[in-house]
Amino acid sequence: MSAKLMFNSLAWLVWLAPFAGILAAGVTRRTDPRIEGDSVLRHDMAARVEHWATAISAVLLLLTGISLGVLFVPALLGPGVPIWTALNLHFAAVVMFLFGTFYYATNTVLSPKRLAEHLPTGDAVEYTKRHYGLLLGFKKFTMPPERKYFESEKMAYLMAAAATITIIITGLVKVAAHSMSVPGQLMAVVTPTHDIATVVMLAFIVPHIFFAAILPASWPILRSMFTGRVSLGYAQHEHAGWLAELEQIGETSDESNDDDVIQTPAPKRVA
Amino acid sequence: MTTSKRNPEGIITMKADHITKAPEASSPAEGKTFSRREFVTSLGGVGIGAILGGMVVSSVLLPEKVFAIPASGGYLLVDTKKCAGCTSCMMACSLTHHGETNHSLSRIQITQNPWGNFPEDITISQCRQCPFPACVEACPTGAMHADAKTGVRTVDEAKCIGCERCVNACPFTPSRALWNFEEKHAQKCDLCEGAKFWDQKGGPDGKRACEEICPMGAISFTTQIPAQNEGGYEVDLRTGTVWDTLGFGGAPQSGGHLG
Amino acid sequence: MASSKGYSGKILKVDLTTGKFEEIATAKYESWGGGHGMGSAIFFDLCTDKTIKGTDPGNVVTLMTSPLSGTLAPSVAGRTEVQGIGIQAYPIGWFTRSNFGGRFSTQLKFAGWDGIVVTGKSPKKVWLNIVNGDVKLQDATSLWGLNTRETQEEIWAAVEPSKKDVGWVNMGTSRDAGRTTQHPAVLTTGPNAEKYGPMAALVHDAGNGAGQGGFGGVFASKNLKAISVLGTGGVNIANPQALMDARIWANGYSFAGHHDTPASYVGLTAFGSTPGKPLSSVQDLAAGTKSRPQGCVGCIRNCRGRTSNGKGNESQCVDFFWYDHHDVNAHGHVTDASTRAADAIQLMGVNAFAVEAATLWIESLHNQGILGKGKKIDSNLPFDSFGSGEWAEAFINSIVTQTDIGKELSKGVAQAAKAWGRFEIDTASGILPLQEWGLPHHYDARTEVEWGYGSLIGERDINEHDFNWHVYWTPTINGLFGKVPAVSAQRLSEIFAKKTAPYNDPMMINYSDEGIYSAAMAKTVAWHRHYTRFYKQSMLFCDWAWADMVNPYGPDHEGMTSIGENKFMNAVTGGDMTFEQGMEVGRRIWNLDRAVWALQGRHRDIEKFSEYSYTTGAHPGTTTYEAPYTMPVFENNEWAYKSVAGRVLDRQKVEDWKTLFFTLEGWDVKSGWPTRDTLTKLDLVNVADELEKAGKLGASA
Repeated sequence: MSAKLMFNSLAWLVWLAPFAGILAAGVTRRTDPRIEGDSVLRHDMAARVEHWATAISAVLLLLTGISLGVLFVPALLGPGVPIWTALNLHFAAVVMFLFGTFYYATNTVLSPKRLAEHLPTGDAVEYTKRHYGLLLGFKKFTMPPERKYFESEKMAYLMAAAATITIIITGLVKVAAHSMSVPGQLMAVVTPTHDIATVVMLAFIVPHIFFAAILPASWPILRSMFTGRVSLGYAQHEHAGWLAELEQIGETSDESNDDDVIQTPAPKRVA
Repeated sequence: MTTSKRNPEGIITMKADHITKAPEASSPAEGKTFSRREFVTSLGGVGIGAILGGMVVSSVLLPEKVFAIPASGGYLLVDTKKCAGCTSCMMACSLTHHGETNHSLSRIQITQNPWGNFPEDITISQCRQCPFPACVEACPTGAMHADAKTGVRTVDEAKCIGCERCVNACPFTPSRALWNFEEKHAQKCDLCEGAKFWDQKGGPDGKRACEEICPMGAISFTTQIPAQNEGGYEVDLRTGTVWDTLGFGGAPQSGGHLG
Repeated sequence: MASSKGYSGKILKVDLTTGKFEEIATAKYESWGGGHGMGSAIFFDLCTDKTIKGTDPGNVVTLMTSPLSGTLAPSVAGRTEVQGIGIQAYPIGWFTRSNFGGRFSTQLKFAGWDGIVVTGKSPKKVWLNIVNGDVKLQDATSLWGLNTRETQEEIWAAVEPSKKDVGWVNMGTSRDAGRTTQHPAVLTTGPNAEKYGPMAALVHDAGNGAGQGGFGGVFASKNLKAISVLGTGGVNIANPQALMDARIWANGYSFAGHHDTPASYVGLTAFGSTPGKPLSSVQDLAAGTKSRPQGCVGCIRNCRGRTSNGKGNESQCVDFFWYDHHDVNAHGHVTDASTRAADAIQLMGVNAFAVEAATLWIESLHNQGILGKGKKIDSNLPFDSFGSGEWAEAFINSIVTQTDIGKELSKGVAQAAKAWGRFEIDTASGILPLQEWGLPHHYDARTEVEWGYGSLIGERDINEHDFNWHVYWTPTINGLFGKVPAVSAQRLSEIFAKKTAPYNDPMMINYSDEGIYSAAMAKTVAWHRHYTRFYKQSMLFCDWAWADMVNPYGPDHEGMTSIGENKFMNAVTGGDMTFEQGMEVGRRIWNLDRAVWALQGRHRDIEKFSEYSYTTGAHPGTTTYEAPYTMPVFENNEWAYKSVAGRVLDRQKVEDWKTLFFTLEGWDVKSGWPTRDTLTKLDLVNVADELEKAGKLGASA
């Protein structure tokens, strides 16, 4: 008994997915965050599509990838059908992940300020320490006003971005190896690199899920990843800095999604 | 984009590649400037078009290139009736390839039934270096391949993705392609070309560890493909040798132990 | 892993009373080498009261491998050493050993274990299931009455997942859990072995048995039916290249390297033997039976066979010999009775040496009209077909079912003789061939003294042929055929002198009437005890291939011994042990064993052969090997081969020889107990302390 491996039979989908993401971004119109009565629009539809396409596929990639056996860790699955099924699920997730990441990347290219939102500032280290200390309840810190993304999240973002880029590049080489002769010496570097990046990704995603979805304190923000909105009160409490920005540019119209919009300077720290 | 197909002989054919093709076809007219958004939209559209177009072109227009898999430069011969089941060959195989004696990593497998009737009590499962190797055909990445110089069917371990299709594709039981669960790659008999813990040159022109070690002389080697049947090669390494005098062919009436 | 190469690093300890498992770090016992040395040391540490009987739950049974188990070291890899307090010897069941071949030790190493230590007694009947690091005790109620083949096949079915997908069995849920094409290696007792304990062997596959000591009965007394082990790992080799080189070098000393021109050597050898030649299975197969040679893991000489009718598979030597001469006497040639007899003991798990001696004795008693239908010892065994397969099977069956004469024989041969009131009279005449400690006569203490002395000063029939092939068989066979041995007596003494470091005395093989009581013979026995304790029973070099003293392929007939052993060991372990260092470890192990026997009640005063050894010369019908006993002697300043058949031992001279031997070993000549000085030099102070506490410490000279 043998199996059809989609990495062979449908390899073209892997190459198509990034362009599909790019094209989708090209035709997407973004909505910037804004205060809407007693709630604040935090994530527009595009952001939610980016997030969930990437999130679902990343989780699936990790689950199937780890099941297939990462580095020296034994596979979780038995030989034959379970392995082939995992490879095919991995394939489906690859397509979705490439779409999601390229959609996100292109959107970011079109709107560089969104990238800036994610990048850490000089406060990152101190804020991150305090943030997790508070969440875990063993540090008696007072949090300064955070902007749209916590500084801690921004640090994690860098790690995730680096891992993602590594995974995509090495992954594409691995896919290419199904169709063309890639030197064994190259594969001997690519495969472990892919696996190491997987471990890094895991190191990002597990805490991310914990702090952003499992901890009750983060449930409003989790809800916003579905509805797009958080309550004004929550924004006031957790993201005072961001709310201040939004209030400052409150008058700005929907047209702010223009590619050439100038980034609003960061407000001074309150307190 | 790339596509690959395999013809019935398991030969991999490669086709056009457009992965990074620039969107020249939609180059804007001189003097007109594109916004970033227009550029990425075009890039996405053209990329999709190129991949789909490439698929059509490659599947309809381009002839597939055919590479014949060369015959192996040699074959292990085994005479099961001479085998004593000591599994020294298995330990020599794993020792020279992996630096440890390990039955599970051996590319030649001896299986036996202590209560069986000779000669069915022992089976030697050695790779036959098939002329039409199902393992090579089944490999999705070219990791299982025929060595360009010697024709020996072997595995480029770094290319192996662990799908074990070769293990399943081998028409013999137990599969001659085996899963190295310690290093996580498929492997098979390479006639000792890759025996890195042994200073002897392996391969068709060199020495094979199992053959060197077998105390009964049950393993031999030939460069000509041997006659074979369902059960294996038809090999008799006994008749006409000193074996005829050792009594295994049917002891004459004897008198017990000096009694 | 921290431990040296060749070792798995851990020993499995199973407490049957509690069902708990523990790991013992092999490193703790590595100075003992492996096998017997480790087994003795572990026994000494864990068996707190060494005066108990073998069936006591406190008995500690060890099954040990060596660094060479599961490696390419030739004719080593497959053997397992079994130790514990035995139940066969009489009147005291000494702390003793047995040893079997096959695949068990290899699978144990591959599973990641250097040995198994069994303590306690299980509350219910169990078997031990080891698959790599996964260890379980499983219910053995349904296996208890099965024979050894049925038991093993049932266990195979239980261990191996439903169906082999591609011939490979994956031993776990992960595809990286390890897989194998091999069956588990199972060591088992016969049916209800507790009921014929002293006669009960442990059997593995078709023909690997550990018979001496009655360990089948010891297992059963612990409610343990069998041990199954399957491993998918390997043995890391320190120097793979050196091991390959050494093995190929060894081919030059064996049939393996000379298929086209095998040596034509008259006599018996060890390593250089041709498969199918004397002392293999071939000569005991009925006419026309086709067969193959068959060997244990890693063997280079492959002494056993498997046959076209599946009868007599893997049996050899005494497995057939206990009965083949009766077969030949009855039929004029070998029939299927010999293979049926061999299969009967293998399937029922009965000690071949014990039934060999018993059969000779029973035949004599029957001929004398003492035993038979309606006789003083009543028996309905079919004596009119003595020598047939039916008789052999009925006899073995009587022991296993404790019926007919088996009712007493199931308690042991010496015990049956006592029960029938025949022990004294029949061991005086010699028709009951129990040579020492109530154990079967094998080679003759009266002629081949190193065998007898070793067994007497030790605890069992030594069953070590290091001297025997060359000092007894080869000259004797040559004499029978009227040939001059290829190796002269003079040359033989040189070869032995060269190989017997640290003594290196050419007089060590002087079997003349004076020589057998000489100081040189004390060296012979000491060397033999030390060599076998370390190299053969601890490193597990097989008795059927090692020591390699005289080898028809060697330069001027010199074998590999004193060079070969350490070449293989060092390639595997990465160490640099010399031959003499190994001999010293052997001395240490021998002293530890001697100390245990002292604690059990050993004293030189009870170290006596059976009466016939002092009074009756060997004569046809009393022992298995009644051929002329031709041996090397140094008489009138010259070496010669000479028949010493018919010789009896001189009581006082044996006592004097014992004094020489104890002096050489540094033991108290009055008691034969080790002294504090000697034990301290061997780094066995704790042993000296325990002896002193028990009042068994030898007085220093």
